[in-house]
Amino acid sequence: MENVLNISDLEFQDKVLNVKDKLVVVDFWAPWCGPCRMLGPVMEKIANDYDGKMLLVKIDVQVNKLMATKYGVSGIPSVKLFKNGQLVDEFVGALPEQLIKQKIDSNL
Amino acid sequence: MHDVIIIGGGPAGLTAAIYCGRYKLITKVIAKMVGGTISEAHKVCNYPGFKEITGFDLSTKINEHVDDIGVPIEFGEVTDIKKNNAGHFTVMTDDGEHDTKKIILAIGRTRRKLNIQGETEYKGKGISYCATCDGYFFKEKTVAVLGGGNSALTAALQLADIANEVYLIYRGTEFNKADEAWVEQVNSNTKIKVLFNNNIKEIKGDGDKLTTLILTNHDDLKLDGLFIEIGYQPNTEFYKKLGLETDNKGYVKIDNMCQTNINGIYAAGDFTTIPLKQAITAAGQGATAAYRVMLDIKKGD
Repeated sequence: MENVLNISDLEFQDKVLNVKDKLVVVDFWAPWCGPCRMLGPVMEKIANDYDGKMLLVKIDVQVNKLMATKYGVSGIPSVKLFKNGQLVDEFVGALPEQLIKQKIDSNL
Repeated sequence: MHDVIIIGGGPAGLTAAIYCGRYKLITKVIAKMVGGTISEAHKVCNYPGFKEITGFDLSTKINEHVDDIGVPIEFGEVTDIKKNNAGHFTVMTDDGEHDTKKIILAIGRTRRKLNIQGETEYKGKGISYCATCDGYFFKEKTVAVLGGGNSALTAALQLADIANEVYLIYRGTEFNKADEAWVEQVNSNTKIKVLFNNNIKEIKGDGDKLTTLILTNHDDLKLDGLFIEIGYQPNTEFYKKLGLETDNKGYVKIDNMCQTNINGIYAAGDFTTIPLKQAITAAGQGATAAYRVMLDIKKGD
């Protein structure tokens, strides 16, 4: 099972909102954003640590503005947690791995 | 057993890694993330060899250089450092324990927060600490920058290319902490309105996003974004436990070879007492710390 997906706005319904069997963690990022590029590998490591229990979905806001706008993203990295299609938690900025894991644990 | 573990992934830590790698020391970098403060810089125009480069590109190049030399970088958070009887150290991370003869600390600084009401609530909802990252979301909008140093002025200049209107709010009466090159550009930019002798009293929003700033010496500002650029404070997570000696602001004291007051622990970069906090000076200290480690290892310490 793939733990990390790069998706476009058009796939949001299918790959985020329609997923019922695991937590979907959406990472809104952009190539010019240093903290996003630093957080990226940390998020990917976490996704593999939670193998099968969460799916990491990455959205590049430079080419995908719709969902970022819809969910009010105005600062990146912006990470939003979806469970059964509902937004259940979120954070902005490159948090340390342990804090991110705590957020995931409390929403699994 | 490592010869040296480098803690931190900015220019200081990664330059130390390049030098330690070439000295053939058994080296590992442990970092929460690679890049450091410089990776957020809009433009770097004073790093030799690069007339103009983005901070992110510069830190990527330094990272690639470390990879090329073959020094491993492990992502992790250091939770504790213990000194054992032989004078060696055990570095504990959330993933395990790492034994090492020497440690180079290069843990940098963190952006200072304003610590007023509304700041946490509207972070990522109008409030940002990185114009390079988030300027994009404020196209043709009204924004403000708080601060009067180089990072505040460059943020204002960068935002002036994107936003309709940029207020630059500074508590001082002139820009005496910024480089003249940036001050001239700010003064000649028609989109930037400078509000000297002002500070933010209160941050207000509608629950979903930031809407208004209440200032100390100016009418309320209706706006979409606020970029807080009021400087940095040294990271202090290891100080107390290790007994590292610092100045009264919390910056670690070192000698001219980057040795701290604790034998076997060296420090490099922005969180030391070095007077000029720049990528180039951090890199220089990283190199010096690596050299000192090499000499001490050769001596058999």
